[in-house]
Amino acid sequence: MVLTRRAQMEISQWLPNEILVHIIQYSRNADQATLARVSTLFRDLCLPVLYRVVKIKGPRGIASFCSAIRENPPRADAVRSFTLDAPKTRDSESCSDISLAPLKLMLKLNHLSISRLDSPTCVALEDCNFPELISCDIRVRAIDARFCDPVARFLARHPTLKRLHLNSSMSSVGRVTLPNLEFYEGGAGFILALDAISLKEVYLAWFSNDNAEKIIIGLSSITQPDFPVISSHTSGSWGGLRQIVTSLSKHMRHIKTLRLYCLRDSFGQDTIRHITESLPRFTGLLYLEVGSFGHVRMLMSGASDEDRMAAEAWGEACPTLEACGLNKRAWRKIDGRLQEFPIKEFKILAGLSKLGS
Amino acid sequence: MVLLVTSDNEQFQTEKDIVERSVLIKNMLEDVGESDQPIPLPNVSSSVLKKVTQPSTGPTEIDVRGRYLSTASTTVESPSRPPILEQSQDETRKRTTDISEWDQKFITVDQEMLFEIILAANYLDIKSLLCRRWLQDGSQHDQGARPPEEIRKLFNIVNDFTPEEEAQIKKENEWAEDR
Repeated sequence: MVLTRRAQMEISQWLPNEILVHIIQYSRNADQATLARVSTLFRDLCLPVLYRVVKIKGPRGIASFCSAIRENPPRADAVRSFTLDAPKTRDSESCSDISLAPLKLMLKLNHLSISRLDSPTCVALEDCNFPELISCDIRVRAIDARFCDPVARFLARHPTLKRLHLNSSMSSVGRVTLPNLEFYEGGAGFILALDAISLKEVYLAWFSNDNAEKIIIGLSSITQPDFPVISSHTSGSWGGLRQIVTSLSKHMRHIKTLRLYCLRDSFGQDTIRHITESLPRFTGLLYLEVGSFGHVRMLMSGASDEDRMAAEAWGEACPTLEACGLNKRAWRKIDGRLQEFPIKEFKILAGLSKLGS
Repeated sequence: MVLLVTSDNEQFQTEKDIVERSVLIKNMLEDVGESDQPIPLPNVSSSVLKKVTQPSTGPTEIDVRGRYLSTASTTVESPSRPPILEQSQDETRKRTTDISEWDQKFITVDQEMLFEIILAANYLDIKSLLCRRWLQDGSQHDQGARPPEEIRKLFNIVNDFTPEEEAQIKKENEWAEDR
């Protein structure tokens, strides 16, 4: 073993702190927590990094984090992103008896993500006001009706929000005004409660009982005609999507990108025809993507020719259209002719690459 | 292939996809476009670049597939990929069970070189280059963090915590260890 003079010195004497911080930043939370126990210097370098992006899983982690904040409130100031990823637990591990009150101390929070809503979480949210919150994900499959109003009130208290993701339907709530909101991903019904004059991108999930006409009119009233809007729609049926296209072509002719996805079925000629007939009414449509999560047509012989013919028909029906995607393939107009190009590039071009991020 | 020139004027011919693990080199390549011009690395010596990119040899060699950087004069095909530039998840997973000996050698044998490599990693902007290696316990298959006392010993760090303070900091940050 070669022992040089430097090798016999303490690491902080030969390695600049900024590089130590780099190393700490690229480490996992668990490693950062371990390093914080090495020495006071490492503690001072690690803790601001460790507390900057907090991801908590399970009741034990929640209890430990809240306890840490309660005992040392200034730590809450370091938190910029907080993810409460609480999986379903056994009753014995329920977090119902944990006070989440310390969460309200995270006054510099920028991003909040919650994957489970229960009574303690809602009680804590009622008490929270994060003046710098710009992004909120509430990834709960079905929000209990009791919790819809507390969540809506929480959102309404945060006009700074720019991005909002609501995984489930929340239609029967009071008005939520978010003047800075640019991105909304979630249940279509929530549009009726939303007042968001800066909205530029919507990724709507439609349920069978949603009134397409009413919701699209609502969406039209909160988007600016001179904003190039990205409008994405996912539904369980092509029938529902046809209604959406009809409503969009009447009330939102200015959209820049239109994306239509069906959760189950692959689509038929009637849907292609319906889209083709609706396209001339759009005045500024540049990008169109149509597909199905249950798509099987790619495997059928002749399907690719049909896709290309559909793309050509759409290009003729909508002179503003620059590119379209169909069944995970994409075409764009070059010198007036359609040329195939990678679907990944299409998504970037159409502004859809941020989908789901 | 990309030609790199180190601070001591040695030339290395390297596969583009490998050197692009370095954000610095990737940006340089984007700036200059397709070119045969060598890329100067004035802050990296040839011994460090070799260490960063060449596999270990002898009994501690690890079995990871791929080509690796070779000098301009002798193009070498190696069964081993540069351990540090290695990023593939599958291969990383494979290495997690085999790498303890290499890790031991890499970290403990030449601390002076480790210093140079960390500086080079910082300069070349190769994210995650070393942090996991020297934080993790290579002898453990689950690649858990090295215990604090082992990190102290490895890097000559004095424990200036009282036992109470250390216990307190451990308790406070248990949430981060709850996986």
